[in-house]
Amino acid sequence: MAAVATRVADDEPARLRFERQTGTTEARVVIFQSPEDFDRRGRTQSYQAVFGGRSSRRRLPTVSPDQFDLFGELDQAEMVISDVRDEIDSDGEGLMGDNGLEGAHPARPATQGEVEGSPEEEAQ
Amino acid sequence: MSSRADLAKFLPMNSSPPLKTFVLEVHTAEPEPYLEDLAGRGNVDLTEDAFLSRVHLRENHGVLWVDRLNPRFWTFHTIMPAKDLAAWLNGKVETRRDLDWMWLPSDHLRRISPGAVSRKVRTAFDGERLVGPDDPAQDLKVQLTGRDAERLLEQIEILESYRSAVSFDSVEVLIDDPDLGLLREAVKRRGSFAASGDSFVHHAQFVRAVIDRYSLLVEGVEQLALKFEALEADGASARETGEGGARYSGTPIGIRFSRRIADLPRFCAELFSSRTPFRLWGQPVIVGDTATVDAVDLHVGQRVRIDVGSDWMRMYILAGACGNTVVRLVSNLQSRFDGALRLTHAGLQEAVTRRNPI
Repeated sequence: MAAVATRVADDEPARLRFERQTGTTEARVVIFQSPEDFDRRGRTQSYQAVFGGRSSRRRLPTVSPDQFDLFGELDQAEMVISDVRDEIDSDGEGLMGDNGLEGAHPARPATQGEVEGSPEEEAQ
Repeated sequence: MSSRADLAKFLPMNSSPPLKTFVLEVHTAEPEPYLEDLAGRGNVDLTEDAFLSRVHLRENHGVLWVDRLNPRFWTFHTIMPAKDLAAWLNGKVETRRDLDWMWLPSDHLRRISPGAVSRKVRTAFDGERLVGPDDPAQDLKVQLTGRDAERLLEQIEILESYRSAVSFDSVEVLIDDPDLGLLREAVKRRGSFAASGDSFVHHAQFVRAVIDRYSLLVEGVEQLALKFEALEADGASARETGEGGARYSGTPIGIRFSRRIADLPRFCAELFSSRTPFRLWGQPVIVGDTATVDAVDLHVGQRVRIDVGSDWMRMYILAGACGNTVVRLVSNLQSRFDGALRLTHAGLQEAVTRRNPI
């Protein structure tokens, strides 16, 4: 345990110090600086800085070229969804039939002074 | 009977095809009968975990694991081909008003995880129907593979003419966790994930974090919904006594565009034509340079009033309406009209951009 604590403290000397057991004290890890010292709003970034720094000392993530094409897998899904939607849109009635709005007209903006169902419109 | 702990066994992280997870927003007070209705009688197996079910898709000979731990955002895990799962889910979403996708805003993808190294990014902007024909960026698709791949897009964003055409569609990241190992995760705008790596738990945590941030945004919208509450007078309702009145709360949701709408009637005609991906239906009334529309959100069958100006939009969400309506519109406007749009409410803008990770 002492060896692990020593290694951790050596890794982050600005933040941690390991003190061995003495005649009057037990072994302990002294924390000089903790994210909890910060205002609540700054703690998240502080924790990320601590753990982000820790992970960066680990192996750099690498990907073997023969691994799966994850994008490609999700693209297949997206294509299926897009194909279905294009089919629905090209029906001319949009999606209204799916939602109980059969007979409603796709939007056409009314301009100022034009009222839906006005005599002028009906006359045409 | 299976349990949550068995998921890692049934959903291996090195399978071919790889593990996929889709997220759907579900509105139901009775999740178990709802799932049975969705999947068909006899196709749902219970597990030892009350929030986890196994679903058999007979037509595809596939198996789904449905996690309902988050009662509103369900996750569907599978190793069956993505297209089969997507076809099944899409059929459900298209025919039900209580189901929708998770529509991730561009910045939720850009900043998908604080500790992640981006490996591949793709932006997809398709402004053909909403952007003016003279605009310098009607259509922009970029895909880059490499460490910190999003940096190229940051360079494109510096160019003012193209900033509004940068909209993140997909990202792939690598995360190296000291305890959970390596995770390679691809995410698309419609809330789909594909993963490979050392630990299913790591993947599940990743998905949960994305959902949690998205939930905050949706709930943030709902907290701003317009509401009138009757004031009570002497224990009787104000309506009965004629005293008191009502307390108003909420605010419209404003969007400020970074580009002007070149042709407002054409823009409105497209936006409210019922067509995908917006699925809004309404009859715009245009007075001067402002359009007012009492629209229907066809995803959920709810009314939503929308005002549109030359470079802004305002949505009036009523109490009880689904916040996903706004987030879906924002996400789709980012990919069809303006990738650099901003919400005028500071808290919502923060929730959309995720500049300060939660």
